[in-house]
Amino acid sequence: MKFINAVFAIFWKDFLGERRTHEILAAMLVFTLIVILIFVFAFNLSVETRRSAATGVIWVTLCFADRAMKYTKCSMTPMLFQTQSQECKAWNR
Amino acid sequence: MIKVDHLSKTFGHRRVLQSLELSVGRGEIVALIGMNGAGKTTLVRTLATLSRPDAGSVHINGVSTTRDPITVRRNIGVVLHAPMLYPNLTCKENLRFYSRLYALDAVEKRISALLAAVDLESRTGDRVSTFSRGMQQRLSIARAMLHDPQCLLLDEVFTGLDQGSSALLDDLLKQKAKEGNAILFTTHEIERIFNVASRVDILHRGKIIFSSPVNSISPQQLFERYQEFTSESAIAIAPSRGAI
Repeated sequence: MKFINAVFAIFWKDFLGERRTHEILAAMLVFTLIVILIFVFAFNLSVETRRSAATGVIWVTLCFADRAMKYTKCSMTPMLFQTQSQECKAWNR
Repeated sequence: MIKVDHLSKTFGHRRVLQSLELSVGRGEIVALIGMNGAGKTTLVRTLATLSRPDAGSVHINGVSTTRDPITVRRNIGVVLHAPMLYPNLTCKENLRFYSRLYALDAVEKRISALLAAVDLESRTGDRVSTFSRGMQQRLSIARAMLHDPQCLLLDEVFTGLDQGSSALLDDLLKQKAKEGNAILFTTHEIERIFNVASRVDILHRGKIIFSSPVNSISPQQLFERYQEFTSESAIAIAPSRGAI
């Protein structure tokens, strides 16, 4: 229960911040446009090509989305306060 | 309360802390001074379980920071250089968030009392991004005290505070010490040490090279001692300006 409460607190904090700044939403929109643009230029849009390249496109997009979100997301909850969740083994140094 | 035994910490080839020994008892306020790069922040981060010691041990309330960091974190309040506040949340929302992480009871009452203590009652609904550095610092202090920790670790906590806020913090720390908490703070301000601390330690090149009760040394003597130990590289500012 404590763990769920902590998760909800983090979600609510991120949600409030996002509702006020639209920081992540804006980054997502820009990223989506860039991805579409790059792949439109990169591939011939025939049905056959689309089918064979779709899986790769999705995976590449997911990988870069992860990187992109790391730079925009303000999820900076320091491990100092992760008292309710499982032990954090990520020592800084 | 805080017990440090032979603590060593190395970054690459650089030894930041060298077999450091330190203890802070119940109700004691210890001021730690030292030049930039002496190891003050590294020591505080290690005590706060944010950095793992290379050798030696740190115990807070008898609990090892390496064996049971979660229990230790429940018993410490930490203020570091970064305020650890969310700029897009209001003053109250920030404290509510941390209250939930600590699973605290009577949250609103605690928050109101703390905001009154740090003189931020009138700004409870304002976003932290609109706060000055000093106000953020005061809110950080409230955040650190939210869960009634038994040990307070404060790294240059007086930085950015005006005279009034500093005096407010002095009173708050003295009150916490009276309640039996152990407090360790780092500073460059001699005036603050003599206002609030019960003991002063000088950290130089990763070692405590001088330790004295505050009531048995004068500001001038402390300044001279500091210069004597750190003369080869210290940038001396007259003690009358209240800073070293």
